[in-house]
Amino acid sequence: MDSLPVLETENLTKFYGKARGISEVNLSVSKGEIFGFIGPNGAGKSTTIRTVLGLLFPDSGGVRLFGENALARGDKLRRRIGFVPSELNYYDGLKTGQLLDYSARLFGIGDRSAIREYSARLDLDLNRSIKDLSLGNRKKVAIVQALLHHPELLILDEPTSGLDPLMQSRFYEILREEQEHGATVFFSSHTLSEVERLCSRVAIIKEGRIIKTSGMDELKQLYLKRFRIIFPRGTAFTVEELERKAPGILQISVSKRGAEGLYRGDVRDLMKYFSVLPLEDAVLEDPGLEEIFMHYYNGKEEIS
Amino acid sequence: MNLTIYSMEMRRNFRSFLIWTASVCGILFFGMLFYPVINADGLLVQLDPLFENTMMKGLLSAFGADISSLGSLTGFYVTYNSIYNVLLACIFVSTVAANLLAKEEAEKTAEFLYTRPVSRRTVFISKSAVLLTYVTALSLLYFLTGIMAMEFVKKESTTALFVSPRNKAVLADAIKTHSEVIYEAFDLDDESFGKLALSYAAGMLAGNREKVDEMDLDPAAMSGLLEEAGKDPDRFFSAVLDNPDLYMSLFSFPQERKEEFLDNVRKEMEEYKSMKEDFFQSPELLLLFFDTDPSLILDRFSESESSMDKAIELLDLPGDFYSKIYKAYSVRVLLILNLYIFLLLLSMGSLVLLMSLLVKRGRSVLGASLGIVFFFYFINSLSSAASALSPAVKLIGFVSPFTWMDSGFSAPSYGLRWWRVALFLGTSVLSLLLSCRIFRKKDILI
Repeated sequence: MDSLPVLETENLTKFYGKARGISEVNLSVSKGEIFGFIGPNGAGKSTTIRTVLGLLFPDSGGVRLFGENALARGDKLRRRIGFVPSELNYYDGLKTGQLLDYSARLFGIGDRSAIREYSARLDLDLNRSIKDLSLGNRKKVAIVQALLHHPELLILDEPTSGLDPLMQSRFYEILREEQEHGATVFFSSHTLSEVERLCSRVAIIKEGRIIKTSGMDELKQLYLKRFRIIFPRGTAFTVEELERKAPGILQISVSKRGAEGLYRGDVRDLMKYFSVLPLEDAVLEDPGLEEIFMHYYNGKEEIS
Repeated sequence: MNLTIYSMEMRRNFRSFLIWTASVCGILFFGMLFYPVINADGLLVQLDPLFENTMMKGLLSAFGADISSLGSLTGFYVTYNSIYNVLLACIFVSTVAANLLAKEEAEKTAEFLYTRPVSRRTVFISKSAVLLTYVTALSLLYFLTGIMAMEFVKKESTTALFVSPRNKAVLADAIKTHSEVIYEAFDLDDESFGKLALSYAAGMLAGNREKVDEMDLDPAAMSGLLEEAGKDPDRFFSAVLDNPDLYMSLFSFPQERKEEFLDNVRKEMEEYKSMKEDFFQSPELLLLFFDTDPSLILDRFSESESSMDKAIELLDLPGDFYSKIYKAYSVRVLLILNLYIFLLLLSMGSLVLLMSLLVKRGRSVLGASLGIVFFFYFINSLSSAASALSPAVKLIGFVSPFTWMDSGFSAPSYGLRWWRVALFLGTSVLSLLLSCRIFRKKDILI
């Protein structure tokens, strides 16, 4: 686990189009981990991934895959990578099975058992024509073609959008199996719940820059708690009152019977404060990543 | 070179290849069938004076007409080619080239293909190989169709072979100066002359010829006699003179007119001898012999193929001479012409491929590539038309690859010009190298 990073970018910078691009992106994904890469649409997730895969050429900076320079030896290194793209465009004239066969041959794989196995698990019909496939089925094709050569590194660009919940959970199951077999997963998403569920570490990208990289636990624990409190009948508090009394409370919203919000700081301080309030009920929980995420995006001053 | 990508790309273009090839070759074949009709009785040749008119000449060459020998099968082929087929073939090749790499981006399948463990250079080489394969296959099929059409027209055509008096004189002159070549080609020498000149040898019976019918002569004996005479006329004559009785009885010639018979034989012998000398000294006789079909002489030199190039070389005839003999054609010329077509298609394909890499994603590469083809085509046509008025204008046409294989090619001798070949190959290789360079560093924006 402490060996060389499987995927590493160094000050990766790429600009194109109208101010789209990434700037000095540094990532380091260790062997065997599931690494989350989150940011809203247009933040630069796909740009980063495309540069790593050699679809785009960086203006400056470097990419190392399995410890080797990916810009020089990309074609060899890609043999060990499976990629699920965010947009799914395949040769419309082909059948699903033909496309997967094509991919297998390009990877130099003669054995088709992996195709059959994964297709069966994902309920993918190999005889359907690709142009007739729904978004969800295309996604399945993308997943199978990424897995069929047993890659050491899986790069997934929003892999679950379009999949129904059952297929999503089967997909997560497959990912965990791959991880158990030693595969590394680099997982980009803008729906944070799945990143939260799967990933051990996460990098957040915003407007082309990485604004935070940390362990999932650290990210969740260290920064924010979500609280919900219920007041007894007849008592009421204003937002100002609460914020004044307990510094560290964020995004509070007060309703008739209660209040909820986020808190940053030592949890004991918050509990000390709550303990003197006439509360009917209080709930303290880990916030979803969405909220951490929103917090990062809203709190611009904290980024710089 | 990656065979998987190659065969996938081959398959993607195969249907279009079949349709276009069938069209282009079909148009060629059926178009050539019009030749006998259009050129009935050397009609096109009679139009010759019309082409002396500068304006007319310009107009016709704008359409790629082979003015120097429009009436001949080869000239007709060249003209017909330039008008439709080469343009059509170019359009097919452009569609293949324009789609080769750009389609992967336009249909966003590039994200799939270029993330496989295959280098960009390999993708480029495999895909270019597809272009090369189709260009080669099309040229080859086109060449074979051309030969088939020519053979067919030659066989089926009722149009008489037409050699103008001027060209007949050229041929006679060539035979005269190179008679030894003719005799060699026909396997003739003094000894075997009789074989060929059977009719002359048999002419010893001239004095009796008109009576032969009246004579009650066994046909088998007669043909045996003629054969004997044909094999070795000299010995035959001396045998007759040595032993006239036998032959006189054979011809039922009255014994009392023996002197007359011997006289006749001697006369025949003299005639034969002088004719033999004449024959070897005045090839006009030989020419007369084959007057009905001059290609008999020319064909004789190249029995294995229909090409007359050997005859043209041996007899020191002008390089394009067969094109004056209307039903004749040369495989070599067809080969050269099709080599030019191959080179034109290759350079057009390469140029369009290069352009497809320069055009921004999402724009229609296909439209632009067809635009390029037509632009080149009309630049060539216009410069050809204008060159009739001012030869310098033709130079403008050299912007267009169509001009590199154009009418200058057919005159004067349908030869292979190396600088033209170099121009084609240079353009193709440069475009391909540049394309590969661009493609290897191209950002795939999807």
